[in-house]
Amino acid sequence: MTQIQRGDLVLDIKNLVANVAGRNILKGLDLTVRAGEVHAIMGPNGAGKSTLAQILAGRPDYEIKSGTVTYLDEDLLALAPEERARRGVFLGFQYPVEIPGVNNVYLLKAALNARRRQAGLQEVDAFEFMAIIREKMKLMKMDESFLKRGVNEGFSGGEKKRNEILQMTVLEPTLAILDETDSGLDIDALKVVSTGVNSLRQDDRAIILVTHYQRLLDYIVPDYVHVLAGGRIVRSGDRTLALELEERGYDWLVEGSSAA
Amino acid sequence: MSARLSPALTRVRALLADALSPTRLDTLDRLIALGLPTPRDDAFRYTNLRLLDRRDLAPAAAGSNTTTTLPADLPIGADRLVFLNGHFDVALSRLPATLRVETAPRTTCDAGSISAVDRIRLLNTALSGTHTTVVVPRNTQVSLDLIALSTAGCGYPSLTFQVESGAQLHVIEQHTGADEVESLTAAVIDFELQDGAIADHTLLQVAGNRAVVIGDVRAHVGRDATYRHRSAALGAQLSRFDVTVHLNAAGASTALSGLFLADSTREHHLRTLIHHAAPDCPSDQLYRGVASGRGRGSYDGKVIVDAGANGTNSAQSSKNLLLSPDASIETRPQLEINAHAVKCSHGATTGSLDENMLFYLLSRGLDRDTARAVLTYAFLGDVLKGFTPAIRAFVEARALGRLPAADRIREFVA
Repeated sequence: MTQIQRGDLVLDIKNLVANVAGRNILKGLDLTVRAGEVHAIMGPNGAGKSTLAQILAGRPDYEIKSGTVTYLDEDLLALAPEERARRGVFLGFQYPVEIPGVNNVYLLKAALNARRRQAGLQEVDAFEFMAIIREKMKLMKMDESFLKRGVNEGFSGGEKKRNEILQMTVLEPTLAILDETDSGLDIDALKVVSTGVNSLRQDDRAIILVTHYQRLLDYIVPDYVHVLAGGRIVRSGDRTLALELEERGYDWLVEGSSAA
Repeated sequence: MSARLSPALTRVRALLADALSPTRLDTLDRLIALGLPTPRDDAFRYTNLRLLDRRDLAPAAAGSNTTTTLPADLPIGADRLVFLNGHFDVALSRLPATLRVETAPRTTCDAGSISAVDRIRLLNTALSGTHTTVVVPRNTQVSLDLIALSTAGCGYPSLTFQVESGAQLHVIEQHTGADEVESLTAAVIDFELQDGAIADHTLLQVAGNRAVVIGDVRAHVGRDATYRHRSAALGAQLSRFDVTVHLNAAGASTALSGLFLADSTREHHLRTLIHHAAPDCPSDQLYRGVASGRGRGSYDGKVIVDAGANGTNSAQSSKNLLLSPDASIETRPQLEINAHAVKCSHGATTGSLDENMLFYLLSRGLDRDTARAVLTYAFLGDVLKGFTPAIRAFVEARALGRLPAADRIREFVA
């Protein structure tokens, strides 16, 4: 695997049109994300933000009508979800699913080793893995009991989100897509989650934050802010755009979009 | 109801006409008149025993030879009762000194009206050699394995455990045998629990691939006594267990749990009947079934609460998982409540793997086969947790071996 440098093209979405259950959700979306960048995608409810996140991760319920998605020179849409994950695409779920009986730690170890195999690296053994996960758990302020629990089993909303970020810090993805990671978090949990995300801001990685509120962006400062409305990006800017949205809401952009 | 002529029964009668005692011949004739149970009998609506038509039902000869050994991978403790092809085998058994074991010729089944399940009892009565009674004396504790080993033909083990007041019995019943043996085991096992007694009964069905295993388990539970039952049905071509628990006096309790894995063309059928005949008795049922390939299964669970059995607290859960379009599992939870102050919950579901869970695992890089196997394993978790660690390890090793991608999910076994 060649080393990824700051500024390399990580994700290139061109004119993406996608349906869910016969309904057209994405209507010609373009987005370019380069290594070392953090992009925030904001927008009103129902604009297609989560649809975009799920499509990038490969959920099968979406029908791609046209357009292309290129990830590190590969056709992302041609890859199965597990192949995307092994190549470094990570989705932090808005609603992480509970899987009783499947041990958290074993899943994460299997996930890490699947990624390492793909990259031609040696798998980590249980001993090495425990060292890795204990360090990351400290960063995410998670206690030992977590090691014994089933995947998200009986977790509070905040714990589930923290678990997603913990997974991300262990898997060290090339492209992380965090879908509404801030929803349902109190201010303390938001700080912990942000610390976890910020620890991964590096030259060889790109992060897409999907969020409804600007609050998260006080803690994870994005390089670019995009407004997704009516199935396409209607405005892009820097962090000040988020502040402007906070003040003015989305209506002026949505109207502008339909006028244009 | 007109009986269906059972060719296997007529054949065995012709074969054994001179060998059987008059009372046993009479029992066999009663069974021939009634026929073996068929899906037209309500209690057997999901179980079709027609594959017995082609089989020879004559009991295998008694006695082991020097080459008979128990399978090495069974989780066997120090003490054990061994039934070899249906016959209590003293040479292979090892019994604790506290235990009283009596064998006697089988007497006739004295039931007035004969239910479909009773007909299995008639078959056992007619064809089993002896009846064994094991007495666990008052205030003693006994742990032992009960091993039904099939090396040839048909076996009809018949056994009663009498657990006296304050005594505890832990018994691990194991049905086993070689894959190439076309065997039938029709076992009748009764538990009689006096006041304050505890019976902890684990039932592992890991019989060979061509075996048919039928078990009729009945427990009579006295005041403040407890009958616990945990089962795993993994082997055989077809297995069918009836578990009937009579909670006969106040404070009697029971907890039944079990899992089955019907892969390939295997069939596992389970019928439970819990009879609340006295007040303040709790009962709990937890069953999980998995079918793949063309496997079939059923759970038919009935709870009857008599008038006057107030304070009954009964819970029943049966969840079932289908891993292929040709697999099927049928369920029928039934409640019959004749008392007022009772708490009864029941539920049965059958479905395929949860797509959201599956996608979550895929999105973490697990391949599809592994993800499906991991979720299947997790589905069985609630029942697996109920086994002791040694039994759990044994069941997991066997169960995982039957799941697709077994080798890849072992590391998820926490």
